[in-house]
Amino acid sequence: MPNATVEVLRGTLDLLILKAVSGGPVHGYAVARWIEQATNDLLRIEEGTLYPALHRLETKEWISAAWGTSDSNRRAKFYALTPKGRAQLRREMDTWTRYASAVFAALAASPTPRSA
Amino acid sequence: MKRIPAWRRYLTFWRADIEGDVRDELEFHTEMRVEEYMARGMTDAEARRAVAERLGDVTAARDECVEWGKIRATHARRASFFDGLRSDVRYAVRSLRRAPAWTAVALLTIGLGVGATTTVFSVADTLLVRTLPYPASSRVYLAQRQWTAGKSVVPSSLPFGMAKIWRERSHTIEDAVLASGGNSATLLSESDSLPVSTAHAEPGFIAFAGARLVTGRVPTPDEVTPAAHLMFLTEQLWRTAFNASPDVVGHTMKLDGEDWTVVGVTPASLTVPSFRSQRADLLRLVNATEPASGSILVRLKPGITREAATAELNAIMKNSNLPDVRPGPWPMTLTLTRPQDWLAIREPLVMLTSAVALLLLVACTNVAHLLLARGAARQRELAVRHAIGASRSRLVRQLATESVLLALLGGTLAVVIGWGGLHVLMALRPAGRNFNALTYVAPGRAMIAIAVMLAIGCGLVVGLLAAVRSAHRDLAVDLRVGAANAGYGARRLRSLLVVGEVAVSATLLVGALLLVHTLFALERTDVGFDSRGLYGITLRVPNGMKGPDRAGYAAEVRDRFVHAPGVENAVISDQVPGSSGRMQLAVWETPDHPQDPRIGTNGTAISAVPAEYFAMMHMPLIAGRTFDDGSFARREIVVSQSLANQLAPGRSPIGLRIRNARARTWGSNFSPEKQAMPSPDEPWQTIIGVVPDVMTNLTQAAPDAGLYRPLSLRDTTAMMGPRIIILVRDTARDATARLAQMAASVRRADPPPSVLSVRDAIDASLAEPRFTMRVLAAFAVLGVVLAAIGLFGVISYSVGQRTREIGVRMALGATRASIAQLVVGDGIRLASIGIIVGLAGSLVATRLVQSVLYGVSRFDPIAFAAGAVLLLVIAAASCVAPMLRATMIDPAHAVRAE
Repeated sequence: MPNATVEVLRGTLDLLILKAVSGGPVHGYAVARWIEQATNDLLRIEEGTLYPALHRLETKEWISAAWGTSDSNRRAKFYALTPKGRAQLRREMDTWTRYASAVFAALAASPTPRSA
Repeated sequence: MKRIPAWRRYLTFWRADIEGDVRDELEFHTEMRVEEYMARGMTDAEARRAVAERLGDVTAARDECVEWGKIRATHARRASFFDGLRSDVRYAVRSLRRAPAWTAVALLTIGLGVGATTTVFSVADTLLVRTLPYPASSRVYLAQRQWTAGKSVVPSSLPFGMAKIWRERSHTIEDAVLASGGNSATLLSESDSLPVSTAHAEPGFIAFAGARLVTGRVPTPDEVTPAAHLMFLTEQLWRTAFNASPDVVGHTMKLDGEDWTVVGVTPASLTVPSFRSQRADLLRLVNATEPASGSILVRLKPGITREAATAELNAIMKNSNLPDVRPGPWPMTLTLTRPQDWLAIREPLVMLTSAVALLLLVACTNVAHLLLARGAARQRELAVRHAIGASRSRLVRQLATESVLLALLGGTLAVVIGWGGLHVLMALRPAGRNFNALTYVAPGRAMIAIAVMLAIGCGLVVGLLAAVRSAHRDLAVDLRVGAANAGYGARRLRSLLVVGEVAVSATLLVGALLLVHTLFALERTDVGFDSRGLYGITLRVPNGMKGPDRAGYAAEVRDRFVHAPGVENAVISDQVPGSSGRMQLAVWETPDHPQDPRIGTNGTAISAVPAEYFAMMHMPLIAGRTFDDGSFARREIVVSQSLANQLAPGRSPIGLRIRNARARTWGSNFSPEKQAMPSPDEPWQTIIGVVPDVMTNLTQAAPDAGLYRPLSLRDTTAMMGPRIIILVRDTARDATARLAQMAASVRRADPPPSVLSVRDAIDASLAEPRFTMRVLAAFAVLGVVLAAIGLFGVISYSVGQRTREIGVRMALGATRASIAQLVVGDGIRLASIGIIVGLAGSLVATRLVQSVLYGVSRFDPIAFAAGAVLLLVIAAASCVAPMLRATMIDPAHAVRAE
């Protein structure tokens, strides 16, 4: 595991979870694994915070939950994106992209010359 | 790892196990990670440590998840409740719409019952219950003086300064404030002149009443000087006459010719209690030091009794040096009262309130019947739904929803009916003083609150009655045998309810019929003279006209009418019979029987009339003679029959000399406020004739004693007062218009003389009993209609229940006539019992209408008999439809059915 990991910004976790469940019903562990792999293990999330986040999104009805059986034949809670959640994901992705490109653009520009 | 017991999962069917689910979810995560790390070569212990580290504060996470879970569970419960409710309501609406006739009858029953009750309760609330609508109203009283003369207790007012002295010296009251209503005035604003009713109060009244002005401000007591002329408009007047314009504050307008400045607008809910006069439209602000009088509102300190406060306030009053609180010749007492104590229509209102409460019960009973009858028809539907899985509680909830919906819709209808009822009541309100109190009743939030409470109460009673009935039902049995037999107990309950309904309407009907009979009797009353075509023409004496000029003018006006086409006769008089005459409190004494002037007495109507008056009035002379030219100088008088009987019982009064003993000490014009000024003895007057009693107020128990003095145009001292009155007889049909036209052309008359039909004035005295009769009749009709609906419902239901029995009877040879007899006989039997109970109740209940009965005993057999017959006919009529249905039953079909 690389040492240079980054703490996940609050709010970003919601976006990542929405993206993680957008592919179809998945359980919490799979969400954690997907975030690990998709970010090349760069983002370090404290897994204890993942579940409250999942439950919060469920309460907001952005994701729905149902108990099912995992590949290893264990009882697990599966999450899926609701239509409301899909709309939210689109909105947040858009916001995030514009935010990031704005920050990139700023970082690429030369600093303000000191006015005389 | 701890295994989850399998059975726990089933609990989720019962209720979501939030904590267990969260634990399961986190355990699953841990296990998966441990497996993953072990696959990478860690030992079990190493893997578990690593996973725990990666999870962080797992307890906090678990708690947070549980919190979210609980919130979701609450949402879900709420959603499912509303889902259920929505489907219940939808189902209820559908089932009500499936039976439109049934629904209409049920709604109308609730609407009429609750609506009528709302109207009457709103009136009772204002006039009997919340009569002093101020903070801590249980400690608020109206301080009044009252004096007793003979049998009558007359309220009297207190001097203005009293409130201030009480405020300063009393230890039993928190506050005292002068607030007094009941004067009429004319308000002149920019374009139009409005007749208004005014009240007056100290500025402190607003704070006393806990009121907040709609606009404007309350002036300080210092600003309110007698010359300041400041006033508040009430919100009602402000809205109707001033378009609720905020600019009105600061405006000056003419009130009875004086300039008054508006300083604010008082809220619609603020009233000054004075039920004997109309509700005030504006409030004049007065200073406590002004030399006038009024009634005073006091608020006792907590824990002080009314008696203690009365005693203390009385003592303070006696020790104060205010000019006009000295006791008069009659016992003058200070009392703390409530406005309802002076309410003239109190007893009829109590009667109406109890009657209408009974009516509401009747209405509830009817609706319960309707529900029962319908419930019976739906037994099978409910049984089937129960069999296919609807729980009993679910079915009950379904039925309850239907009842509540019915009550709500009925309640809405009731608000409309109650509101309309109040307006009708106001529109029909007779002008007399006794009904002025009705102006204090205003449809508003209180009325709607009453309607809603009554509708809910009605729903509860209906539900209870229906539940008593259904509680014994076994749905499974219903499914098997159908609704063949209603229990004996239920049938008896239903019969009892119908008997009660009929009894209530019988009582109401008897009350109404007593009043109808009263009116018939009153209209036939002998008024003592011929009122046909008799008119009184009143004109104001032109300014500055005195003595002989004045007499000449009066004669000129009379002659104008005497010679006018159509006019049969015209005389000068000093009063118009039927209009409020000149009443004097007199104690008549003869030389042989000196009287104590302090004894109480009824008034005597004293009028000055010319010699030809009696002939003109078609009043026969009972004894003696009438006036001649010398009568005035000789102090001769003519008395009415009742005064003659009083003065000379059993013998001829002719030649008897009398005088008013009261004049000796007290002045013949009695006013409790004016100070008693002893005056010299009146000269003796000699009785020369007796004429019939005149009774122009038909509701009076006995005619007033009458005394006539001669009026001679030459003896101008008799021509006093600011008005000249000419009595005219003109029996032509268009007389009113013609006389008015003639009066308008009288020389120097300003304003034009008024023309009053004596007949109309006499008839106007019937306005109050007529109004009471109409109101009572309306409720009696309502009661009878409800009873008819109830009877119809019960008989129809019973015919439905007994279809099979009737079929069997017919199969065994019963004729249609005997079946009809069976059905109608049932109805008549129930009705008869109800009528007997109702008439028995009337013997007691009519005590409450006694005060409005004239010339008719409250046990009047005609009213009782008419009520019984009318109800029997209606009972028979309401059995006709079910009877026809019963006789149409096809025995073959009926026996095979079910």
